[in-house]
Amino acid sequence: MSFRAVWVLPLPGSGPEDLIFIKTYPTVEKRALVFNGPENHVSLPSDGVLYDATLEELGLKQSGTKYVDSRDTCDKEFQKPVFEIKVLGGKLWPVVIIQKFGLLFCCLPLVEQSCEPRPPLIEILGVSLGLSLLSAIADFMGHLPKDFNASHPKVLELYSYMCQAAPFGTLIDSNPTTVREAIQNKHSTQLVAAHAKQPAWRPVMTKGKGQLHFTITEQVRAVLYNSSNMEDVCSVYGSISCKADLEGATPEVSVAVIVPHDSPPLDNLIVHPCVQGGDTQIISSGMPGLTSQATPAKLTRRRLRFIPPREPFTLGYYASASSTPTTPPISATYQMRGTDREVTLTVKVKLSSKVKNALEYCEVQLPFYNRGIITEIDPVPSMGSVVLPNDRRRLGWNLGARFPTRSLEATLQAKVQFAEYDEKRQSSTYEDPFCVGLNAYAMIYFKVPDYTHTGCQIDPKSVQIHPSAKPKLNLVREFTSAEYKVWNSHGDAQAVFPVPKYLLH
Amino acid sequence: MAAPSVLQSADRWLSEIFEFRKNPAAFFTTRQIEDGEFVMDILQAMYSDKLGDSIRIVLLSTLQEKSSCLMSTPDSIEQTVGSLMSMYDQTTSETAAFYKSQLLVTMTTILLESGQLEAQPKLFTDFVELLLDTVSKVNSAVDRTVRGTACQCLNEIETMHPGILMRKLEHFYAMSQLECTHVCQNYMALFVQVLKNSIYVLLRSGESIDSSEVTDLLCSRTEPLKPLTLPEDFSNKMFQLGSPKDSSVRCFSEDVDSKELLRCLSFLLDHLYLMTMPCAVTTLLKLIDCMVTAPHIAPHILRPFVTRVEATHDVTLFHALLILKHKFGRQLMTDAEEELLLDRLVSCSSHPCLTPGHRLLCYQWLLNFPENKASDLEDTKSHLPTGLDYTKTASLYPGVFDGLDTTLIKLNLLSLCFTPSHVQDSASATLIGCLVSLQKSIHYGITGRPAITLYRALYLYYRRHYETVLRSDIYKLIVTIVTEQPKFVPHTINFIECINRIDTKDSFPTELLQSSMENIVSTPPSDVLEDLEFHLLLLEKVCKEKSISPKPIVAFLRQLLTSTSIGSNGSWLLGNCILSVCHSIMQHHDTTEIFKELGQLLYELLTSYGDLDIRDRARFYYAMLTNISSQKISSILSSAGTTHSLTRLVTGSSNFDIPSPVQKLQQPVLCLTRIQRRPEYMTFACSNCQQYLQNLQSNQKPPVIHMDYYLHFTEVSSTRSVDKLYSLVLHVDIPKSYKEIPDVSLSCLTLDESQQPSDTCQVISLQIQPLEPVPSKLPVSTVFMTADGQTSTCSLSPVHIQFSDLFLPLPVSSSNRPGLFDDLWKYMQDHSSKTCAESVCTLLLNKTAMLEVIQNQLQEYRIDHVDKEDDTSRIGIFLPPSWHLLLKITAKQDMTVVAIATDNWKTLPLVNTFLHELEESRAR
Repeated sequence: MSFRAVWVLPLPGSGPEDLIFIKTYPTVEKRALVFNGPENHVSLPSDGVLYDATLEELGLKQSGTKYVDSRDTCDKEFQKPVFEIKVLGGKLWPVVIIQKFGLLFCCLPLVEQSCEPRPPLIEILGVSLGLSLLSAIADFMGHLPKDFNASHPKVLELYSYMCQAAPFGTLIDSNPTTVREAIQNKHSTQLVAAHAKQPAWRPVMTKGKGQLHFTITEQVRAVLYNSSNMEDVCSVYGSISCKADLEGATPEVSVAVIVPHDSPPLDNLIVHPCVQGGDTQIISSGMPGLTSQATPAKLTRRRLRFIPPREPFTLGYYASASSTPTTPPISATYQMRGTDREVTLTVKVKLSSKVKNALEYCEVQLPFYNRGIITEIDPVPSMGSVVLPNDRRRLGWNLGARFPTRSLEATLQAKVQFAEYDEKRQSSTYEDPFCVGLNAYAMIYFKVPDYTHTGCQIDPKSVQIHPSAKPKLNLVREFTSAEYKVWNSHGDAQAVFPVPKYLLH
Repeated sequence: MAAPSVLQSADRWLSEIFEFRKNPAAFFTTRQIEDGEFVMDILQAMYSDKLGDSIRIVLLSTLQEKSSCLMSTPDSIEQTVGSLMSMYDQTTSETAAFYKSQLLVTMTTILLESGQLEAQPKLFTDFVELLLDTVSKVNSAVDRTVRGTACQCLNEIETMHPGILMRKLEHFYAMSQLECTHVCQNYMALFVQVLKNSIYVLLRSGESIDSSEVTDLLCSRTEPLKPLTLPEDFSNKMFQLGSPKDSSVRCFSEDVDSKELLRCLSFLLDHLYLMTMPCAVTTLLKLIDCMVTAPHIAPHILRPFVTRVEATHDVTLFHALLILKHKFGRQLMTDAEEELLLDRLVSCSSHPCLTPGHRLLCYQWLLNFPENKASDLEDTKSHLPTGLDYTKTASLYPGVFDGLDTTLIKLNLLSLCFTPSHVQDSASATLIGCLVSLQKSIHYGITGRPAITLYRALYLYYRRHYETVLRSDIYKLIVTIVTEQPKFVPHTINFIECINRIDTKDSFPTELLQSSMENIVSTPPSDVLEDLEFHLLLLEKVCKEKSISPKPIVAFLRQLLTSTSIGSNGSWLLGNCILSVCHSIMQHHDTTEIFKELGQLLYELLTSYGDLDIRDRARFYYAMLTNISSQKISSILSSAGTTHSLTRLVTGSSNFDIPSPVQKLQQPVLCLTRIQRRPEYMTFACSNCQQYLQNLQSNQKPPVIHMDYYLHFTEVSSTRSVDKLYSLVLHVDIPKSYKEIPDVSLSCLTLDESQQPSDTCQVISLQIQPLEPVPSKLPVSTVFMTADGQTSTCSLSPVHIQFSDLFLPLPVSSSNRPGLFDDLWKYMQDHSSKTCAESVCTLLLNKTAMLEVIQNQLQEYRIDHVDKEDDTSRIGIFLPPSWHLLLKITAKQDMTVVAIATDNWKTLPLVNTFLHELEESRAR
C-alpha cells in the first residue's frame, strides 16, 4: 500500500518536455524487489526514459487522428485509469495516470504480491489510493502559469507536500488543506483536547462563534432532439457541500436533507467518509421491501449524522435515477436550414412552469462548426439580445433573467451568412467534426439561484449538534445547467441506443 | 543586497540538484567532484538558514532518494547521519516541526536503504533508541508532529525488518490507547504493523504456541521501551523481509486464547474513524490480516464499519470494502447485502458527480466483483457478477453523456450480459444497436478515438460471440465501413490481425478480405482514386491470403493504370502502394496462373509509370517474374526482411518512424538558363470569323509553348562534392493559370557536361499551357541522389514566364489572317459589352524607331495587307487558350499611336505594360 514512485509531466505542448516532478522511495523499491523476485522485478528507469515511456504508452507522441498500431490496436489491454509502461527489462504495472490542468499525474503503487500473473485490480488497494493521491496532488497544485518549469514555487511545494502526505511512500494524508497546515507548522501550536481523542483529519481546532454553511448545487444535463426516433435525455444531480466552524474535538452534526412529498426521493446518495450514519440507502430493485411496499416516502427525508472536518467539504452527492424521467427545466427546439453560406434558423425556448422564473442568467449559444466565419446576421429575438462574439463563429442569445410571465416562452429567428470555409485558416480553432452541413446544436446556459429542480433542501429545523451548540446557520441553493444541448431538427444528431422500457422499472 | 544573493543561491542549488538527479554519474564527472564532497555541500547548505524551507526540503528529498549514489561507504553514511542528527538536535519543534520531522525520515531512509542494521548495528540501534525516546512522550503537545513522524519511521523500520520491534508491542498498544492528539493514528498504525508482524513471527516460529501466548504478547511488558537490544544470537539473516510467496501463514490453533486480541482489534476498529482515509484503509487491511489468524474472531466485528462506509463517495474506502467482501464473502455479507453492495457499485460506476477515473475503476471492479456464490471461473478472468441481473443492465447501455472510455467498457460489460443465438434476436440487436453513435462518427469520417473504440468493441464482441449471429453482423458492418470510408482500412487490417492472433484457423478474416476485395475491384477505377492508397493497402493485405485468388486484383490494377491518369501523374507514393501489392502477390501466390496478367501489369508500370524509382523497381519485379520460378521468387521476397512494407508506412499504419533521409540544401546547386521558346503552332479552318471562334471554343487541347532551358550547375556546387547527380527529379510548382507540368526526370547529370550553359549541357523543356494569358514566376525545386547515396533537395531560382512568352500568331493560315484580323476587330467593337475592349496607347517613339521595334519583336505577328497602303502596322496576336490581342500601330513624326482591341479586357494592363516596355527597350 505504498508507492514506488510519483511523477508529474506536462502534456506535450503545454510545458517543458520533461518530468517536472518525480519522487521515488528507495525502501519501497527494495520491497518491490523482494516481493517480485529479482527475475520479475522491473526497475524504475531514469527520469528522461520515464518521460518518454509515459507519453509513448498514452500515445501522445503521435497525432491523435492517425492510426498508430501500438496505441490503437484492438487487442490492447484496457484498464484505464491503470496503464502499463514499457521500459527496458519489462513493464511497469499498475501505473495510475490522471490528467488535469494540462498535466499528467502518475504513480506506481507497490503490489504486495507477485505480479506474475497479474492479480485483478480489485485486489490492489494501491490503485485507488493512487487515484486519490493524484487527484489531491492536482488540487494542491491547481493551474500553473503558461511559462512554468520544474522550479516553479508550486512545483517545489509539491516536494514538501509529498514528504508530509506520504513519508516513505505510504500515504498518510492527502487532504491539501491539512497537509499545507502541517508544512506551515500550524499543527504544533494548537491546544490539545482534554479528554476526547482528536481525529487526524481535524488536527486544528476552531475557536469562536459557531457557523454552519450548507450549499446545495444542483446541475442538469440534457440532450433534446425533438424527434420521434431519438428520445430526449435529461438528468439532474447535485452536491451538498458544507463548511462547519464548530468548537470541540469531535462535534457531531445531524441534519435532514428533504424533498417535497410529491417529488421522487433523492437517489444514488453517496456521502463523505466523515458521515457516521444516516439514511443513505439507494433506491433499487434489490432493496428489501422497498419496491413491493412502495414506501420511498421515508426517503423524502434523509438524515445524515457526521463529524465535520474544518475545511469546506462535500457532504454528499446525489443523482436522479435513470428510471425516473426528469422533465427538462427548459424545453427547446432548434430549426436550422440553408446552405454552407447562408442559413435561416428558429430557436424556441420555454421555461417549465415548475422552475422559479427568476434566473441569474440564461443564454443560448449557437456554434457554427466547419463553416466560414459569420459575415452577417439578421436576428429577430422575441426578447433579450443577440451578440456576435469576436471570433464570429457562434451566436449568443442572451435572454436575461425573466421569461414572459404568461407564456414563459421566447423565440429567436435569424438569418446568418458565412464567409467561405477556409480549412487552413481555421485549423487552430476547435471544430466538432460531427457538425457538418445541417448537423448542429444549440447550447443553453442558465442558473437559477435559490432553487433546486428536485426540490432538495436542508431542513433548517432538523439541524442538531452534539455537544449542544447553536451556530449561525447559512443555507444556499442553486440550480445550473451543465451540458444542455438542443439538436437541429433538420440535421442528424449524435444519439445512443435507447434502453428498452422494460428495463426501467 | 542580501535578498538577491539568497535568491541566487537558491536558484543555483535548484539547478545543481536537477542536474544531479537527471544523471548522477555524469554530474560528478562534469563537476569533477566526489560524491562525498557533494553531500558535504548539501549538508552545509542546509545548515544555513538562508535557503528557505522549500529548497531545504528539496535537498532533503534528494538525500532520501539518492543516498545510494551519494554515500558509498559506511563511514560516509555514519558521517551524514551524524550531521543530520546534530541538525535535528538544533531544530526546534515549535517553529520547524515539519523540517525536523523530515530529518528523521531522511535518516531512517538512509539507514534502511543501505542495510545498516547488518552493517552498523550500533548506529542503527542508537537511532532507533532516539525514535523510541521521542514516541514515548505520549500526549506531549509541543512535539506531537515530530512524535507522529517518529512513529512512521518506526513503522517503516518494522516493515523493512519484520519482528524487530516485537518485544515493544505492549508499549505501543498502551500508547495507542493513551494518545489523544491528532497523531494518535500514527501510534495505532505503528501498533498494527508491529502486531501483524509479531503474529506472523509467532506462527512461523514452528514452535508450539501456548494458549496464553497471544495475550502475553499484548499485555505483558517483557522489556522497557528503550533501548532496542538485539538478540545475542543476532545474525545478518534476522529480521529480513521475505517474499510473499513463502509467507504461507497458518492460523492459531483453537485453544489459543484470543480474547485480548479481539479486544484490541475492536479498539482499533472503533477508532478507525479518527484516522485519515488512507491511513484507515491501510490499517484496516493489516488488522484483518491479524484477524484471520484467530479462528475465534468472526468477521461480524467488521459489520459496524461496513455499514458506516457502504455509501461512501471515497474511492479508497469503497475499495477497502470490496476487499473485505473478497476476503470474507458470506461470512461478512448475506446475499441480500451483497446485492445492495452490487447496486451501490453499479450506481457509483455511472454517478455523474464522481471523477472519470473513479467511475472507470468501478467498472473494472464490476468485472471481478467478489460474489458469495463461488464462481467456477478463474479469479483473474473477468466476468460479470451473476447478481447483475437484467434490472441492473439498464445502466450498462452507453449513454449520451458517456465518454469513449466509458462507452467501450460498457460495451464490454454488455457483451457479457447478452449472448446472441444463431439467428437475429434481441441480444444481437442490442449489441449491434449500442454501436450506433460510434457508427455515426465513422459515417461522418471522424478519425481518431471513435473509430478505435468501435473496432475495439467489435473485437470484444467477436471474441466472445464469434459462434453466433454476431459474426455475420460484424462482417456486414466492417465491409460497409471499408466501402464507405476507406480511410479506416488500417483499423480493419489491425482487426483482422488481432483475430488471426487469437485463432489462426478462423476463416472470418479471409471471408472479410474476400468480400472487401470484391467490392473494391468491382468499383470503376475512377471512383476509387480519392482513397486509392487505402484501397491498395487492403489489397496488399488480401494478397497475403493464399486462398484468395489475386487474379481480379491484377486485372483491377491494370485497369487502374490504363484508364486513369495515375500512371502519367507518376505519384511515387501510389506507385509504391501498387508495387507492394505486386510484391505481396509474388511472395504469397503461385504466379503461373496469373503470369501473363501480372507480367502485363508490371510491364505497364515499367514502361509508362511517371516515376523513375517505381519504373526501376517494376523492372526488377518483371525480371524476377520472367526469369525465376515462382517458388524461388517467393522465397527471395520472404527472406528480404521487409517486415514493414512501404505501403503501411505511407498510410500510417506502421509504428516505427523513418528517419528523414532527405537533406535540404540551403543554396541551389543547379540553375536553369533559358535557351529559346518554341511555340507549337496550330491552325484552324477559317471560312469566316464566326466559324473560327466556334472552332476555337470547341478545341479541347490548349496550345503548348515549349520553353527550353539549360540545366547546369551553379558556382556553389563546384565547391561541393556533387559532380554526379543521379535520379534527378525537377519539380515545377504551377499556378492555377497554367496547366500542370509533369516532373522532369533525369537518370544522371554530370558536372563535366553541365557545368555551364553550353552545347554539351543538359537541355530540358518545360511545356507551358496557359489556361489564362498571364505572366508568372514558377518556383522550381529538385530532388536528387549523390554518388554516396545521400538524397538531397533544394530550390532553384524561379523560372520567369513573360506576358510576351505566351504570344502566338493568329492560328489560321497566313493568307486568312488579314481577313480574320478585320473580322475580329469588328467583332470586338460589336461585343464591347462582353469581355471585349478597345483602348489606345501612345508611345514616345518616332516612326523609324517604331518600325525597328516591330521588325525586331513583333514581326511574327505582323499582318500584311496587300490592298491597304497606309502607315498603319497591324499586329494580330493569339493569346492562348482562346483570346486575342489586336494592335493597329500608327507611327507619327515624334510619337506612335497604338489602337488596341482585345476580347479579354483583363489583359489590358498587361498590354499596356508590354507596350511601354517596348518603348523603354528602344530608349535604352
